[in-house]
Amino acid sequence: MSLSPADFHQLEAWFAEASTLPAEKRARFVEICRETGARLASELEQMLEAQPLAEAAFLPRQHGDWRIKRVLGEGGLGLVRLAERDTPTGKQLGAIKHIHANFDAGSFRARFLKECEILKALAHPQIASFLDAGLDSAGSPYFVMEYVNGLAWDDYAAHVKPTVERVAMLFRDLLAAVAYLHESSIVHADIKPSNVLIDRAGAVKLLDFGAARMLDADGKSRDSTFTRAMLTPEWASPEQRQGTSCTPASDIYSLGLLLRSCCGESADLRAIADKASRDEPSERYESALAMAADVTHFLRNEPVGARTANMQYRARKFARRHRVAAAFAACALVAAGAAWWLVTERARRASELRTTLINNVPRKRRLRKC
Amino acid sequence: MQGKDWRSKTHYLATASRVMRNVVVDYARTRLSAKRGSGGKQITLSFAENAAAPPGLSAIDVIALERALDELETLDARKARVVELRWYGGLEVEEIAGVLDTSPATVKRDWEFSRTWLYKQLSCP
Repeated sequence: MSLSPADFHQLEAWFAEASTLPAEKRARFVEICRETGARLASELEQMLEAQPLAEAAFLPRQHGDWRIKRVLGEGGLGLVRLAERDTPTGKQLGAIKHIHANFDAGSFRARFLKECEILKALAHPQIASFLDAGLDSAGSPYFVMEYVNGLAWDDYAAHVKPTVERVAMLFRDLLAAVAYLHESSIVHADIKPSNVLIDRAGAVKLLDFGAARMLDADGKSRDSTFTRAMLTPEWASPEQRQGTSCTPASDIYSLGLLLRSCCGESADLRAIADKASRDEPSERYESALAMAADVTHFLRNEPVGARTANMQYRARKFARRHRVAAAFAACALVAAGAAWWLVTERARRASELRTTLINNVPRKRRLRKC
Repeated sequence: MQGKDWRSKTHYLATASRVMRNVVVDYARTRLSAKRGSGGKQITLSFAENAAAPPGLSAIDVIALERALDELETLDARKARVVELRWYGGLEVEEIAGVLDTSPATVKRDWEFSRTWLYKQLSCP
């Protein structure tokens, strides 16, 4: 469809204005435009829809030392792409995150830089590490983090079908990373399957600190309204959804949902997941470490704190935990029984024999000998 | 800072981007006519990757892009030039601003609008 130059410039002006609006306000803007010109408003609508795809299709090729290879995904504030750079020992891969041109201003830019700062301060084997950062030629910031070649938590669960023990082991490692974050006064605030990856070596990696926040000295986080706009409702805690607070307990909640999504038939893991994802923050595990301890209990066949312990459950746990000892005990019991039977049987037979002998000896001879 | 060198480098790249555009499009047209006997597939920029196409774009029909770029040229010549310099020449925003004697902000805005408009023309003609 060809446009008149006047329409074209009207479209351009609308597009420029719509681009500065957050996603949820754009539809309304299009409706207002529709009152001026229905056909042109449809054009605008199509363009706004095509915008992220267009950005991915027309990628600039280089940021600093990094050459762009392909798109990995879309984050909250921009694209994440695979890039590589030359090092003295060969090529290095990285995941480059670049702020979307529409967001490169004010609080969004501050948010992006904060993410970069947080990532830079972290060093943990289960957290995708920071590699590099810089400004592109237009002055927009980018940063590069370790590229994790692996599967997202839900894809891993669906395709690899890990055992519950494997899930528990991965979860224990993930909890160690979250405990480290919380110790560093950082709340991830967006723990969900697509942010937890299992790499080729089978190690779990936590990524995307786009929603993460630093905690104040009193353990509360600032600017929760901003998080509310960015969070993924499906995995967010009730207090995050209401925008009342965002604390380490909110991460525990999301971890609970994550664990529940793949705890299979395990009643223990389900109980741990349930305790972590209570609506009331104070009823959840008080820390990632406490949750990790319960996962460790499960792995060691010890009673899990999240389950109300009755005698039968404890005895079953005890038996599973001490399978070898229990086997030995059972053997010992059998052996003891056998020994007792042998002894008593021999004694019985001996006394029988004695009776027989005594009865068969001629009475006279006995008397004579005496 | 080496004003003359910088100017000659961008001038070279600006000329090169026009040449590059012609090379890529001619290449695609040749491939298309050669293929016409055997079903005539779309020629995407990935075919011309060695010549010019930056990585990332794998399935934009070069000839359709050329058609859309021509249309863009009739509507807004500067925008088409921005695309040429950015896309075929690989110039950075700052450099394009220098070549076209405008501000980087304008180039950025032109580029954002043009690529979206072109993409839309290609996906829903």
